[in-house]
Amino acid sequence: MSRLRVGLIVNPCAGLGGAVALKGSDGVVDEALARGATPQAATRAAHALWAMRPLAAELALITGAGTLGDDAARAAGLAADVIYEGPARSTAKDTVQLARRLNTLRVDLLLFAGGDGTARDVADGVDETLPVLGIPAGVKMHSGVFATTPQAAGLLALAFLQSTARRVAPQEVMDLDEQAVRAGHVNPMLYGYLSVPEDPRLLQGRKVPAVAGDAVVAEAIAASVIEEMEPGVVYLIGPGSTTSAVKRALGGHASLLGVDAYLDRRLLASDATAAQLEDLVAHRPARALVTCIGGQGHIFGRGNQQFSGAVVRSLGRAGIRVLATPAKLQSLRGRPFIADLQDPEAASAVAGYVEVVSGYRSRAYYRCEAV
Amino acid sequence: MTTSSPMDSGAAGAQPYIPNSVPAVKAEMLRVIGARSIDELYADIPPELRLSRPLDLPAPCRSEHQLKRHVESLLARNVPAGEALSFLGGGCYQHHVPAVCDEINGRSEFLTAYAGEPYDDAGRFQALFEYASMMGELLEMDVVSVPTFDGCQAAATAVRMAARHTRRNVVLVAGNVGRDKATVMANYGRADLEFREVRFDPATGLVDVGHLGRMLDHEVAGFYFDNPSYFGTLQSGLDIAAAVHAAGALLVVGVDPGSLGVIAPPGSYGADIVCGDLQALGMHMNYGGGQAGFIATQDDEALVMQYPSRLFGIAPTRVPGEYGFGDVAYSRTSFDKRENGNEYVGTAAALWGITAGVYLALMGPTGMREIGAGIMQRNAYAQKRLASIPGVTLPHAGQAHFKEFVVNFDRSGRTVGEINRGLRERGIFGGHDLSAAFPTLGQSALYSFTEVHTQSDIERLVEALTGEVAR
Amino acid sequence: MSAGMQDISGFRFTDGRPNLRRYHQARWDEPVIFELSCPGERGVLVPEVEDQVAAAAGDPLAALPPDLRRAEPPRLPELSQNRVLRHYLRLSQQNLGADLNVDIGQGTCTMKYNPKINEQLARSPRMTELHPLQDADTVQGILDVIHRMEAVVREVSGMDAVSLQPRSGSHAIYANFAILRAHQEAAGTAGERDEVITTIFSHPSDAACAKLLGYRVITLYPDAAGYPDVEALRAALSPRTAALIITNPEDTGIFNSRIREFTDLVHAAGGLCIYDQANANGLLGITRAREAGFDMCHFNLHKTFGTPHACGGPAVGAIAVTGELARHLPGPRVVADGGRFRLEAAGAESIGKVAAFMGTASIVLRAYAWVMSLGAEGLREVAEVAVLNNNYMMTELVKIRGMSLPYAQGRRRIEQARYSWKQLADETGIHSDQIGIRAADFGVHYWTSHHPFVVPEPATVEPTESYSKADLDEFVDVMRQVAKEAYENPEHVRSAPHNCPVHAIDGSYFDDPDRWAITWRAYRRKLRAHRAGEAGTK
Repeated sequence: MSRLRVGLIVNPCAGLGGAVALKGSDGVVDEALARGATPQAATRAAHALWAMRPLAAELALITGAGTLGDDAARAAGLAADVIYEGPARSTAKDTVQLARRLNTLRVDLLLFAGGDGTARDVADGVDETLPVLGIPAGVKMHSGVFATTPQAAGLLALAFLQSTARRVAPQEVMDLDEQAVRAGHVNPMLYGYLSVPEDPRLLQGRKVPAVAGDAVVAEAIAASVIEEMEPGVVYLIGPGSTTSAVKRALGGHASLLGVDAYLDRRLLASDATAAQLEDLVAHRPARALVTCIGGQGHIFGRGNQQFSGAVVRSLGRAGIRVLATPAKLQSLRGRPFIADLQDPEAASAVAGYVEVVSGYRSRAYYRCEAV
Repeated sequence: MTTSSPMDSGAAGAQPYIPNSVPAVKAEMLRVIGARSIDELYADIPPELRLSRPLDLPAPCRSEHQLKRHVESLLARNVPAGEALSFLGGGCYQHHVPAVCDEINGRSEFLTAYAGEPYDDAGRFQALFEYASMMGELLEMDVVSVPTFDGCQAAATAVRMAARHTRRNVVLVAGNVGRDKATVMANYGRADLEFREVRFDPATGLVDVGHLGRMLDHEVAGFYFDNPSYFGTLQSGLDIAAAVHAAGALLVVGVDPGSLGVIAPPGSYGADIVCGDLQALGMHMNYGGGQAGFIATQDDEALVMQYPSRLFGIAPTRVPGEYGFGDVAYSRTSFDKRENGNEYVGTAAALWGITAGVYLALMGPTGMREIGAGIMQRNAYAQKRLASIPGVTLPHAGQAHFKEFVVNFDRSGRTVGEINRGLRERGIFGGHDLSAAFPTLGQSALYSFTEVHTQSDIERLVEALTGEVAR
Repeated sequence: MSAGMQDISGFRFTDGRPNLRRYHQARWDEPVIFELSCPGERGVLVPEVEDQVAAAAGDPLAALPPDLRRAEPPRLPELSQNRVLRHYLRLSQQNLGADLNVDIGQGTCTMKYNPKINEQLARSPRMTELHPLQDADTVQGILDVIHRMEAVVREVSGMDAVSLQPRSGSHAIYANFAILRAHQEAAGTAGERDEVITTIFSHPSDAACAKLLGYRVITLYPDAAGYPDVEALRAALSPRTAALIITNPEDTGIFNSRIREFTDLVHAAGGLCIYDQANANGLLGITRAREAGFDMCHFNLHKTFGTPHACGGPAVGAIAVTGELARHLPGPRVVADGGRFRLEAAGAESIGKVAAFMGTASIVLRAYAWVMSLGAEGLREVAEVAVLNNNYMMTELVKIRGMSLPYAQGRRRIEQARYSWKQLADETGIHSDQIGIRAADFGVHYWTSHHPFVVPEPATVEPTESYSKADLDEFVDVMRQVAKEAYENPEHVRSAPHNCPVHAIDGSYFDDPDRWAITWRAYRRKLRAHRAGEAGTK
């Protein structure tokens, strides 16, 4: 019987800082432990694994020794294959190394327990196509790679492994400079993408993954948008999984993580800075195509700060369109989009309602809160 | 007659259909809610939108007995086909409905169910799966839809499926398709499809295959014809299929499922999509309320993904040896994707699908063969007998027919309307008047003979027509 | 001293409230009918052809073109009559019709009582044996019924003209969009006005039918309080607006008091307003489409007007339009002509036909009988009690741990409400659809929401006027019990159902082209192929 191979990485430092009022845990483990923090990640990982026990007989867990994952596996009553021994106090390097090894083994699914930092480390170690799912254990998770709860992560992993379709969708990995956050400057950038199992409940509320997944809808949105592109108008396309579908359809060497400008369906500028964008919109009619990035519904201010307040002011409400699949909108669970522009005049251009392209020739108007 | 005041709601006594119309119960519920009156519950409806008078409706029949008398007095002014001798066809037919069919579709477990899960409504899912399976055997096809409204809708959807599948937008429709069906199809495609008519030969009632050949091009998504046609004629399909496929189009055929005990299913001569109406399989005519449509194809993933309707599949459960049912490829439907799904889907005619399954199970292969052969024999006999009446001709004599045929009265000098009026006086419902819809057929009527017609019924018609034609 | 007597009722009730039922649905393990087949059995015999007829007719198959001769008999099952009956009766026992259960969990479906007298009347041969092409003189009764029911719908809606031809609610929505298109073609605006605005809470068919008829769909998401927002509407309106289609109250049960403002804005922009009145049950005699400013509306007779749902039809969707649009209605139409009724062919501007014949007249008859048993007062009572029942449910349901009623805080609802189990889901990992499946173990239906879910972990409950306070309490008790289990014994909820005819179904088959099987023949074929494949790899 061919077994289901699941990689497991636990970041023992994840989540240490929050409870003791340190924003995040990078570099402050000693301080956190001194303040009396207890490691949460292993417990959360164990909860997730516990939910996977119905598959125990077919499951082959592959992980690192001790706090890197074996402890959590034992706590959940599951046997694991240990393929990596780290030092007593493991670091980010160990996460990356273990991720690399699991990637080489082409595991069916890689589960990791941690936060945005751990997500970045995993992203460094794996190919884009390896299915990865985050067990939330960090302080604040902006990346879209996490399930809502550890238990939900286990259940989603279970459903994914048991399905024949094994649908995944690209989700953003965010790059927060935690020291900057601590110092009061929040500046999260988009770091990259991971392939994450599609949550069937977010797609259609049913137990089974859809035959036509979210990727197909994203392509339909892209087709619709491209069909309506007007000549002589510059289209500023931001990063994100849905907007990437437009870039792919248009071709050219578009950036993965930046804002690209297109004119008459050809790439004009790649990975433009805010200054370049401000210059572009000053001299031509322009439209911005953005999508929500990360798990909190941000359409501005997380990963696309190149859309500065000045750019948004120039574009105005009519110049901004959000591309979002119905599944993405559903994942917001009724919460509005967030536009974090730090610019009241720009904010008023998107506050209230924004126009969303949600399908082929289908639009929606969705609430947006803006600052 | 009690008028309602704003604070107190209407009728003084309890109403049998409304348990909580008992005033004391209302009061208790209001107390729990924390409202002083029901009117408070309507607070969100602004006064200017509130109706300020009672609805102007007829006085009700409050007792069941009064209701029965009233409705029966209305129904008394209907002359049902069973009381007269009816030869009407044209898409709705008088067949015997086995008692078990009515018994099953009268069960309130089925009659009052709706959209429950495959768990609590397991019976409905299995009954519909079995209906689809039995239709699959009749049609020799692996995929059959949950029923749609009627055969006209089935045809309309089938050609849209062909258009989606081929990504072309021209649909050819045979001229010997009923006018209502052609209208429904054209309406359904009015936004984005172009319909072109392929002529039929008035001498035979069959599709003009030469004309079809000239109309097929790379823009055509599909060709639709009924077999038997609206005129009851049966036509060879092989050369039609060859021509249609050579043009890269799909062949879409409407069929009478009651004929398939003896007639080859269209898939066997090359039809890609088959559709039709289920009414003949166990539904009373109900003044047109017994109609239900079906669509069928082979189990080709690309074709399956074009269906707008629900498709029920079978699957095991977590208990070994147990099986259940559920929606196949649900993501293609508007239920899942709203405007991004195929067409739209909703309530249609599910109970008639279940009934058709019961009918087919009762009839079995032998029953279906016997009824089909018997109907063809009665029609052949009737043709011979009617043809012998002076003034009556059969324009499509010599063609094979299933359960109806065209009778022409031009030589009699009388119109179909006049003849039918005379027949009615004799207690007979003559064939449907085709003269308005098909002017090339002159004063013609469509006469249908099924298993309910005896030799003496046919002879009575012959005698009556002989008399009417001679007037 | 005599022996004691047991208080039987004491086992069924606690403090006057019924205990939860030890419900178990029939589980017959009934095979698929093909597996019951016994070659040679006959279920019903067909009338034989008389000798003279057969002799004169000859072999009918001989006249057939060769490719039309059926080579092999169809492989239908062969069963004797009572075996067919038993099989389907058993299947019916595994089906939870509204007559049997407190069917308020199927929100928006309006699962009210279908009076049996109406069923009996409609099964009279003077309804069932009418051919739709019979001369009008011979069907004056049913034509009269259709005419009267059209008058009822005119009055209930306030509109000028009605058609009962569509065969369902969605079909009626389609017909209304066809009328919209016809209106635009007549006015010459078809090319320029190609956008239809709706809300995300509307029935999927509202959006889907618009798209089918060539319109682009613009969907408004709700504001924070759950209402469609006027500002969003203003943003969506443009010279390209053809129409707004909206439900009010929406499936959340919330009535948009500013609806007249909405319709005025749409008219000012040059569009028409279409009212999807699937949710009319709380409004009969209270408020109407006309006064709210609509140009078209529709009703589901199998919801609001008490005709049976029949597992999903046959049914009727009644459409009602203003006088200006009446010329576009489908035909033929029933016309009163000096005490008699006749059928008038559709005019040149009619959309033609949407259904065969006159639609589902047998359902129109049932709806008419329902209206006639109630009258104006009764219809108003229906609405008021439906609203009373719903608000009572709301009061009781929100007391359950883990359940909330999002939107419109502190405001009433009309005839249904959409709840959220988000708190329960976050705390227990149990999702709304799992609650529903466990609820089936207690003999009740349950429905989440149309897709996509905007309210997270939704449950939509519509009591209608047909259930008693005790029935409502029973449903609340079931919800409370399942929620309690979610917190205390989640595995039992997750592994549900336990008391239904079947257990958890392996849904992976349904989206896998290699394994989905929509007919028994497909299933057998694929099973053989899989077995051959497995044998090949050994």
